Amino acid sequence: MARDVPDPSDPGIRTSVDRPLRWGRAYRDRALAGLRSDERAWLRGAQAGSLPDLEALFREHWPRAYRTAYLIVHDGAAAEDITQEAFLAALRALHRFDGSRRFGPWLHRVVVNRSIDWAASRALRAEAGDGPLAAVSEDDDAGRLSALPVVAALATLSPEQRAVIVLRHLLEYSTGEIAAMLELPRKTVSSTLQRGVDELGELLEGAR
Amino acid sequence: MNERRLRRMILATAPPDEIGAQRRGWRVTRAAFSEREPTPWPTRNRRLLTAGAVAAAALLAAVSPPGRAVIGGVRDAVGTEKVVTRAQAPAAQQGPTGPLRLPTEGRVLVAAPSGVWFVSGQGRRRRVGDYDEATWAPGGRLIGAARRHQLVAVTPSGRARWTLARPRTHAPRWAPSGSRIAYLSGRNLRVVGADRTGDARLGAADDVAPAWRPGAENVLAYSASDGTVTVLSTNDRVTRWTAAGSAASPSQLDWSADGERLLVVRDLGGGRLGLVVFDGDGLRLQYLELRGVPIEAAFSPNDHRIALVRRVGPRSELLVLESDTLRRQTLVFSGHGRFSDVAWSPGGRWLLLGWESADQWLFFRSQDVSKVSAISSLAVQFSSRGREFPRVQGWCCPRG
Repeated sequence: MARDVPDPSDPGIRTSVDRPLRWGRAYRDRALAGLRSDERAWLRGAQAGSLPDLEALFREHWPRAYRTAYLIVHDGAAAEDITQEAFLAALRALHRFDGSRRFGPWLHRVVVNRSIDWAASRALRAEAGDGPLAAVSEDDDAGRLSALPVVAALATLSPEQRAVIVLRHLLEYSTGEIAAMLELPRKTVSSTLQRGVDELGELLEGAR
Repeated sequence: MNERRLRRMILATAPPDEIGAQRRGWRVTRAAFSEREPTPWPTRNRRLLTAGAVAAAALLAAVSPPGRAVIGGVRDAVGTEKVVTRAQAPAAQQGPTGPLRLPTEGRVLVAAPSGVWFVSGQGRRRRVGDYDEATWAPGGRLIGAARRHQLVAVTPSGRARWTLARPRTHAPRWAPSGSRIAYLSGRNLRVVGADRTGDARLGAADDVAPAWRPGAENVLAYSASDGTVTVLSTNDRVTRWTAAGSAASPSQLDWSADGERLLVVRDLGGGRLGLVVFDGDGLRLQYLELRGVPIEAAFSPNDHRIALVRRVGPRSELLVLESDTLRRQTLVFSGHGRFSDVAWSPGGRWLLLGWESADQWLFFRSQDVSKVSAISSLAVQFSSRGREFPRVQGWCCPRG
């Protein structure tokens, strides 16, 4: 059942989960084309109780889901919780998941909506010293410094704007798909996206 | 700035500890996956089955006139309802058996916004009814439940044996003898027979749950309205002993399983708590002040160890203390946010810790932190809105 995934009894399974992201080819393209049949097989395998198939699904989708949550909530711990909860929700729904549907959009929808809820509630109970950059500035390193402006700029947008931008530019969904995920009119998504990109552009250009 | 550059910058944003988060996420996911049951073959292949059924019906229709009636039936089934197979039906009646499985035997009673539930060792959860709080009867055959102005004795399947109307009923506690239930009605302590007879007011009380001393004598400890800890025999309504001073105005009372120790937990204010231990006759044995706000404490069912949950600043901690020498303390677990409950398994080998901020139950095998398992997403499992963390009301009955 398992395709190109390590044996779960093999200690090397840890290294497979540790593998860094591969950004060479657009994630969405792969999700739509080459991976689609694999993903369907992984889903069926996981439904039947195959741990390697579950791991393949996890390995494919965790990095983007975590990154998506982080870019919306700007809190590493919260992003981890949200992503973990989304995967647990997926496990609970696994038995009734229609194998002909794609897993990624379903997962992203859960992650994004939970992240928006979290960010909105966080904004309501903002505490002193809870700056959006706290998590980043605690643990700066050379690799992250280059991304700092975009995190800071994103933090000035509303959670919904962040979500739309992340769905469009990280996960590469179309505005129609984003509208369906967030249950918003397509025009609203387009205008939110345009406004968000404009604001981000101004902030990032100003920061240079 | 063009969109391409923006995309490049977004892709370059690395969340903190990405690898560590993924590794931890996989551990939790794998653990939850190993506890669930595989989806039955008919469910996984629903489409295939449906297609087969349609094809078979079409064939029947083609070869025999009565087959036309079958087509209608199949069309109805496929077109308007999902196909339910025999394998699915029993599972639906049993309720979910997902990642809620307990690490050992017994049943955990839970109060959530959606009502009172119990979770069995196999992970099956069942809603008992629309109540706010609950208490196990000895042996777990009945549950004493409270909701606004009612006390109810109810079976675990949800059938009410009797109800008693009293204003602002809360904090029910079933006596270890099985013959009585103590509860608070507003600021009054009351006791009623397990058969609903003899309901009586015992006195004015603080809003602290009363605690029955284990044994057949129906001795009850409670906090009187002036803050005095009072130990009373409910059989003859004679006060055995009282304690004030260092034990006054407790936030919680708990007896050891042998009835030889009474623990009095106090919130001293200013981020400090006090633990006072008495013997069965009211002699004060230990007193200790600690940092933190007390959340909950519970005696082990096997000995005089106490599990204590406290909040210290932004963190919470689970400690285990030996009540005969309170200074011997073991930190079992510490985490960010709020812990809400602690409960010992009936055999005393496991500790259940409610971690409200993480929406998780953690199970520790005795005090061995290396043996820990977690159940996540509890708020969603006990409430459709999934906003409030469920409260543990008791872990009972080794052979329940």
